[in-house]
Amino acid sequence: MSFQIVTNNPQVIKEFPSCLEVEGDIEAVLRRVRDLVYEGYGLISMPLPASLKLLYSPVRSVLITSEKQEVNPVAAEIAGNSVLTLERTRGQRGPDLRHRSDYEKLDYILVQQAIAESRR
Amino acid sequence: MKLELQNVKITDLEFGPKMDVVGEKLIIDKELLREKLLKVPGVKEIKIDLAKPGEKCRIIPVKDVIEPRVKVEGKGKGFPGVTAEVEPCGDGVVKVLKGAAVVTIGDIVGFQEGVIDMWGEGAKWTPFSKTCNIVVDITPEAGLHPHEHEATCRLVGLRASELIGEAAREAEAQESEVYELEDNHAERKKYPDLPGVVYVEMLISQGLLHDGYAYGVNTSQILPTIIHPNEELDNAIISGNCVAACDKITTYQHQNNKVIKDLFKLHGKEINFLGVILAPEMTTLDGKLRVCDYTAKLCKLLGAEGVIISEEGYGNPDSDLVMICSRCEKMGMKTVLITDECSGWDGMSQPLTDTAAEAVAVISTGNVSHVVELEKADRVLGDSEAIANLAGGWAGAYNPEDGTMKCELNAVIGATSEIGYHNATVELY
Repeated sequence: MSFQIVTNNPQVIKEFPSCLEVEGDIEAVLRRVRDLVYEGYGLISMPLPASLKLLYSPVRSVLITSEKQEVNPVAAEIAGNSVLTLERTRGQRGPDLRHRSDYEKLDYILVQQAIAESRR
Repeated sequence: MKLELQNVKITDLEFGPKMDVVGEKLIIDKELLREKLLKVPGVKEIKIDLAKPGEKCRIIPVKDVIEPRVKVEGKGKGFPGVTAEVEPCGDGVVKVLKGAAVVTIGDIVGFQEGVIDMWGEGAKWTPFSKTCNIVVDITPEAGLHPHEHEATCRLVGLRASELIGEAAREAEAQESEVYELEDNHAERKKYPDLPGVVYVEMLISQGLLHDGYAYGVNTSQILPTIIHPNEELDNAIISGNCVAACDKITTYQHQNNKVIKDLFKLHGKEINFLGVILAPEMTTLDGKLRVCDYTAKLCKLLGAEGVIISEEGYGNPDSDLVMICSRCEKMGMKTVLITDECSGWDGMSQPLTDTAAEAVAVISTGNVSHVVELEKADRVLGDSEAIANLAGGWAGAYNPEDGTMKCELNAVIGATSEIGYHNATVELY
C-alpha cells in the first residue's frame, strides 16, 4: 500500500522528505489528518497513540493513503474523534517540551513500526 | 493442564550472605545478584536497593515489576523462550515468593514516569507499595539503540526474578493455589449446562515501549492466538511496555492475572471457562480490523456464549476494545469489557476515545486523570530527574516550600490496571 505521512516531527520530515509537513503542534497534525480523511484519503495508522503519555508529546506522525478513495465512515469517525479526545484529555496540561528530542525519537520509531505493519 | 502455585509468605527483606528465606524474611545476596546481572548483554552498571512497605521511599521511573519464583516440577523453567529453553509452561509446581517483587528502574526515554510510593497517599494507589521490593537500577552501556536498551532492562528484570526465586526452592510454603483445566471437550462433558466463557486479553503491540511478548515472541508479530490460562500464570507473558504507567500490565500482573484467577473461581460453578485469547493491539486500522475479526471468530469457534475483554492502554486501543465487543455481540456472544477511564479531573468527561452501541456491560478500573497529591520522599530510588516528570505540568502542581506535588494517576504504576490487579475499587451509592 502506498502511503504518505502527515507529521510535525523534524526527524520524520528529514527521513521522509515527501511527507506532508504540518506547522504547529500535535493538535494541528490531528486536524490535518481529519480534514484529509474527510476528503477521502484512507487512514492507515491510528491518529491517537496507545498510551496516555504520548498525548503530551509535541510531535505526532500519522500514515494515510497517497491516493484519494471513497470516504470511509469508520476512518472519518476515528479521525474526527481523535481531535476531540486530544482536547479533552490534555485538559489544562500543555505539551511536554522538556523531552522534545525523546518524543521525536519515539515517534519516528513508532512510524517505522506502522510502515512495517502496513506492508504485511 | 494442572498448575500448583505454592506460596512462600514474605513480609520482610534484608541483604545477607546467600539467597534464603528465614521465617517470613527474604534474604538477598546482593553481590551474587549484581555479579550475575552485570553479565546481561548491554549492562554497564547495576545498583540494588530494598524498599519495604511503609518506608518514606519513592521508586522512579519504574520499568517493570516481576514476581520472583522458581519452578520445581514440570516443563518450562524460568521464562520460556526468553531466559530458558522454549518449552510449554502451565503444568507443574511453582514456588512463589509471595509478597516480594523485583522492580526494575531504567529511564529509556526522558519522559518516562512510573512511580511507586511506599508510604502515604501515593501508596494507596499502587499494589506494589505493599510488596517487599528488590529494586534493580540498570545503567546501560553507552550507545545502545533504544530497542536494545529496552531489551536489556527487560532481561535484567527477568533474570533477577529467577535468581531471587531460587530462595523459594527449599523454603516452606504456607498456602497452595491449584489451577486445573482440561481440554474443551472434557470440560464441556463435565459441565454441559454451564455457559462457555472465553477471556480475551488485549496487549499493546505497537513498537518501542509499547510491546508485549508471548513465549518471547513480540505480539505485534502474531494473529490473535489461544493459550491455556495456566500458561499466563506460569511466566508465558512478559511486559515490554513502560510509557503508560497506570495501565501498562506489568509482568507481575500477568503472572497474577486477576481475571484468569477469578474465572477459575467461577469455573464449574457458574461458568465453563474455555480459555484465553491474546489479541494484539495493532497500530494500523487494517491491523486492528484483522485482529478484531479474527478474535471474534476464535471466540465463536471455541463455542463461547460469553466473552470477557480486557484492554491494555488508552487511546487507539479503545477502538479495538469496542470493535471486538461489537463483533462478538453481533455473532450472538455476550460481552463484558474491562477498561480504565480518562474522564478528566472531575471524572465527568467521556471516558473512552471510541464507543459502540453494543458495549453496555463495562467495568471501569479507575479514572487515569484523577489528581493525587504526593508528599516529599525521604529517600528516592532511581532517577531524581524523573521526579520532575511527575508534577502535573500545570500552575500549582508543585509546592517548592514543602516539596509536595500534584500528579495525575496515570503516572502511578499499576494504578488502573485493566486486568484488575490493583487497588482502586468502585463504591455504589
